[in-house]
Amino acid sequence: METFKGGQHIDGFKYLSREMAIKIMPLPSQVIIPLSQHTGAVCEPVVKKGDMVKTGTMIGTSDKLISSRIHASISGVVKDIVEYNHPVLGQSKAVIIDSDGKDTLDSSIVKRTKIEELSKEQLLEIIKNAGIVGLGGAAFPAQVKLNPLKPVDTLLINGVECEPYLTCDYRLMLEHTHSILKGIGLMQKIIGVERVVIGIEEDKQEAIKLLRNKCVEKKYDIEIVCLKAKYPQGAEKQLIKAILDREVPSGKLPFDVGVIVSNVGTAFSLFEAVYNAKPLYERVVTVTGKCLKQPSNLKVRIGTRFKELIDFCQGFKEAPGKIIMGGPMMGISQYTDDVPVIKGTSGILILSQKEVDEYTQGADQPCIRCGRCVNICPVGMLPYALSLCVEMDRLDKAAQYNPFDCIECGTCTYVCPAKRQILSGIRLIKAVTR
Amino acid sequence: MSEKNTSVDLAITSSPHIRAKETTAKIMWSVTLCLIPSGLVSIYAFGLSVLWIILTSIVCAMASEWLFNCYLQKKPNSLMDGSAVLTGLLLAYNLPAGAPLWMAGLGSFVAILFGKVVFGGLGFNIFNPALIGRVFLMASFPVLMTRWPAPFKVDAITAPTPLAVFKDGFSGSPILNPSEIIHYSYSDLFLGLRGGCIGEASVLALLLGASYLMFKKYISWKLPLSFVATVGIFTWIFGGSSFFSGDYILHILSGGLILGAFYMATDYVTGPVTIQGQIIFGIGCGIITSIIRLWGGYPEGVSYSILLMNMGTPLIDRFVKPKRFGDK
Amino acid sequence: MKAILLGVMALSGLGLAFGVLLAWVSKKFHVQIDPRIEKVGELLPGVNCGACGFAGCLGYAEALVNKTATLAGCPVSTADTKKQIAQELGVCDVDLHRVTPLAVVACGGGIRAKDKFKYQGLADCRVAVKTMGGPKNCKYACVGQGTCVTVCPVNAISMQADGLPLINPDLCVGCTKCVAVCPSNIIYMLDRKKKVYIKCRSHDKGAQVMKNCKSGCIGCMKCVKECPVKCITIVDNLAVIDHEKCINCKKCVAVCPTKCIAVL
Repeated sequence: METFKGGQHIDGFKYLSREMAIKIMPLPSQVIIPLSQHTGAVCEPVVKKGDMVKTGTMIGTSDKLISSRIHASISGVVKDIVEYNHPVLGQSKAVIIDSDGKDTLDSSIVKRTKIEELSKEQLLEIIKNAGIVGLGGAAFPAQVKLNPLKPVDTLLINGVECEPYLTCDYRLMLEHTHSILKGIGLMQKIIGVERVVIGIEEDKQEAIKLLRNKCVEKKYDIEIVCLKAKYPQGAEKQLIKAILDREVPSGKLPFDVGVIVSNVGTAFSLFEAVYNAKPLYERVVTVTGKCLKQPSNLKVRIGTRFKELIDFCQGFKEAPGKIIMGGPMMGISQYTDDVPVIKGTSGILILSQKEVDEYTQGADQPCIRCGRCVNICPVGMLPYALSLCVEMDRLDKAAQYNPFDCIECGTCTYVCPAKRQILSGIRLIKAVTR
Repeated sequence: MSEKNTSVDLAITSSPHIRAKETTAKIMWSVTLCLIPSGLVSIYAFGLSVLWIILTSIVCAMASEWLFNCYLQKKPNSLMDGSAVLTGLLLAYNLPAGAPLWMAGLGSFVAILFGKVVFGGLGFNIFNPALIGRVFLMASFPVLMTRWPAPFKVDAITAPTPLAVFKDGFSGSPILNPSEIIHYSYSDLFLGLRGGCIGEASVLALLLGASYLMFKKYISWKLPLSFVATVGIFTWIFGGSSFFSGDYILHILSGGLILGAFYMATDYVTGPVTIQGQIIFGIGCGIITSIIRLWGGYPEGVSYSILLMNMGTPLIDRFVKPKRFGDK
Repeated sequence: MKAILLGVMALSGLGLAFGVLLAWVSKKFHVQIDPRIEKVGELLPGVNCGACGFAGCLGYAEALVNKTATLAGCPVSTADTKKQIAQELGVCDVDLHRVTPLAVVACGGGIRAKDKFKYQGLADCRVAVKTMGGPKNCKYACVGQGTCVTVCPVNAISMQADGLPLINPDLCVGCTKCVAVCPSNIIYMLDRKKKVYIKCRSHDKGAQVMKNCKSGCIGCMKCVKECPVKCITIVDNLAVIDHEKCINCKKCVAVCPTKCIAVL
């Protein structure tokens, strides 16, 4: 089975939500849509207080190259444009829309026909207008990614979902198999590559089977590779290594080795943007955690508050200690549940107070140089050495250990028996030496 | 902005938010646990006095740790992480069965103070603390440290270790007259019916514990194997009267080789961090051990070889680094 | 007898041989060191704080002698010391009347500033401020993880029970390391002759400050009106003292409603 060097098998807890079919979340009465949901320039609002908007109306844009448009996710009135809680930045400018309860679609949203006749440029324009971003995590604008600066020979589709707990990509692959394949077909056409490979972890056998059958049935020339279930198998560079045995050096991007990596979720939203002319105003979010009464996979409008999602999952069994946007390995802990879902929200994970105490107990003991972090580091770093640099306050010594190679997967911190906050230290070094 | 939020109850840390179940304490206590079978064999073979030596050593190690770390340096209580207990136990295993109790106590005091505390505590020591204790005792009380009771006859006879027999032949050992020399069969060596240090008694018991450690991936099998194999090959080539005729099985089974290779050379703190580095470490230990055994002044060289290679650890770590992702 | 003689002779012979060898080596590999480096090094404060950018005081001394650094680079040395060094080197490139400034903490928040959340990550201010915009509601506030305490080369700073660092003026040597490391920029250097400073850096509007913190500057203008020499102005919702004009009358301290003007 294909894999990369290093990494660690992590108990996934995916059973909590993997059998839960995607449910459509009822319309929220109010949405908060941050103007910064992607990598790149922040959008300027194109609506003002009091404006009427429809579902799918563009409300924010930017003339910068690397940016992505923002759309209203419900129809209603713009209540205000203010600083509001943001799941990544803490605070950011956001458009608040009060729903009129009708969910009237914007006039631009009509099913497209004659998709085959669309040229590469037209497709890229559609993607740009629809505000599609990579849904795997970094939320990088899709129109930029699909138009690489260097020739590319392979398109990799990331169906790995190696983050523990999360199941939204898995459910998408099961329930929207054909749409995803169509989306991949579009990507293939835009980039102009022959070879397309989908990588999926071995623990998602059903998805593998389904995609393989669909490929045969609909005559798609797509390889589906079964990968070892190991974290961080879904990290871009590790995925390329596992499937194509090419290594992307530190500071380089996948297209430097002739590859573009995209997520299955992105392929699905691309399909919707092109076939249904639907901008990215909703996405699938896994709401999970052992202290949640009913973990689920929900199709949610962007801008819905976390609190409403949690309530829809029938609330908590016991007191929550941590609310995390994303998975437990790379997610961001939130200080409030009054924070909106954004394009990059793949999941909401709730850890109970008991679990949090368990995980924080006995932190920051002395490093015993056991070498676990060195052996699992997927990019061949010496995490313990960087951690010691921080402990000794000798950040000037850290540069020799290549801190900028770090992909921040967090595996070193996960395996550390002394419970040291290795990754936090590496982030500190990166921030200070930059 | 809504005023009602749960802010003060929610914990904010940076990712990752989950941790593996392994802890330093768990690893240390597991190693301690895995050493117990060997101690039991020793108690069975040499009598209850062995138990007192082990307990004295452990209690003194813990007391020293508490005194220096918790009382004098006001550091958080480190007794429960098991490292002091392990040091005490390993030191006891490196003493002859007839060692006086004060020697065990003194040894573990020195092991903790000069082996660990002076370097800055757990994680910063260069040398294996238990071996520092042993070498200190070897240098200070060479006679007491080399009086080996024969198994099952504690006070009766002082027997040489198999290696001493091998090295000194019949004339070299002043305490014995030739007729009392005990010859050990390989199975005696393996099962533990021989003179020697407390922990060295039974290869079988040691391997039993070590296999658990390897199963749990607490230690890598590569380091001990490279150590033992090097000793085997080296003594096979140079250990006999002519080349390629040495009694390598005797060399592997006797002395502290198994104890050293599986429990002391594999010490995380004082060994290299990478697997490749650990193999180099093991080979180095093997060569030094064989040289001391075959041509050196002592019959046994495991402890010295590990200490010498401990010194080389920073150097190995400097040169043996994992391949940087993306480098050819 | 013969054995003793042999031993003595052998050892003396060895001693002699090594002595000659050492003498030859020291001649052969002699490195010329400017004696002034050592002298200057002795005059320098010796705290090795690194504020000059060189490897400790000795490194700085070498740079001074080689004229690659100026005396102004050392924020710690007193005027007297600098005078002596200047005499030693025959140069005068620094204002010798300058007094070592003192680092002061310009935040009165700590436990009086409202928490946004309880931060439990790595105990380092530089990480804390980057986590969700910092653990305090006030984005100008001290985040209280004590990185200034760690970097202080003379242990002049300690964290207090009120969640703020306290700088001991008797110990502070004015090396500016804490100023450089503080990610919230709330530590700054104050002339030792000046006794009054504003203990807040928030540019938020008064109402917002009141919501966030019990001891922030709300820009109420009381101090501005009270000041006899008109040295206080409100810039962007924050009172600023012009230390050049300040006469240490401390009248502003008495009128400040939130007690955010501090006296040394």
